[in-house]
Amino acid sequence: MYMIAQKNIKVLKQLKEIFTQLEDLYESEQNLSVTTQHTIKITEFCSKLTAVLHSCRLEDLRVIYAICSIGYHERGERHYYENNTREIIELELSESEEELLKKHSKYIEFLNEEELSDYFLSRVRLTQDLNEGMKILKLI
Amino acid sequence: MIVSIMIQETPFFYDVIDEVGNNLYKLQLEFGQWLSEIEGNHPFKKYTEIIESNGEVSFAGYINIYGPDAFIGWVNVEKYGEKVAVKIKNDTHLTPAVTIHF
Repeated sequence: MYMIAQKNIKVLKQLKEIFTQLEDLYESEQNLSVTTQHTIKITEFCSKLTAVLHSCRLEDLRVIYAICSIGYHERGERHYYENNTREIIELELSESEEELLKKHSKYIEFLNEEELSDYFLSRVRLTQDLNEGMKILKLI
Repeated sequence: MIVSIMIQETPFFYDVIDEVGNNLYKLQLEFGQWLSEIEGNHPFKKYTEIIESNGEVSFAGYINIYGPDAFIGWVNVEKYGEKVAVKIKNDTHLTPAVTIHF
């Protein structure tokens, strides 16, 4: 699986870029600064996301899912009650990159391409998970 | 059999074999028990610390982080070793035979 992860570095960077843009757009939507242009941009980035996902095979999508899961579940989180902020905790990891990828793809074993694509299309935030997952796996 | 898993007021629908549907609540309890026995980093857990305004660490440990899809993934992979439950994508006007709440 690690070889597939390495092969997909370009795709992972594309996904990071798309989700970074989407997160900014959704955040400004929450700040009520929505315009038609804004909505068009969200649609545009969602289309780009769909295109990137469709270029991936099932095994690519499984690995990308696992990388995101690693980035989220293999890091801790420290919440500061006073100012409602959070910071990432880098935990000690004992498993190899391959072991981590297998662990985090175990429960999606039976999902098909459409189901995995739907998962990514339903996500609003993924940049941090992708980034941390790629760091843990030494893909950046 | 169509079942729903509720997250607060939002239902998530799945098409499952009868055995899963008829034992859905028991499976939910078993899943919780199974998860409570897992130690360390896991796809359904996250290490979390809460720091109070006086600097005190009021919590430091693993919390369970999972949704209906994770539970169904566990049913398929861990319990049955095959795809016995499938997420339903277009779920308007569905009436589930069984509902559980997360």
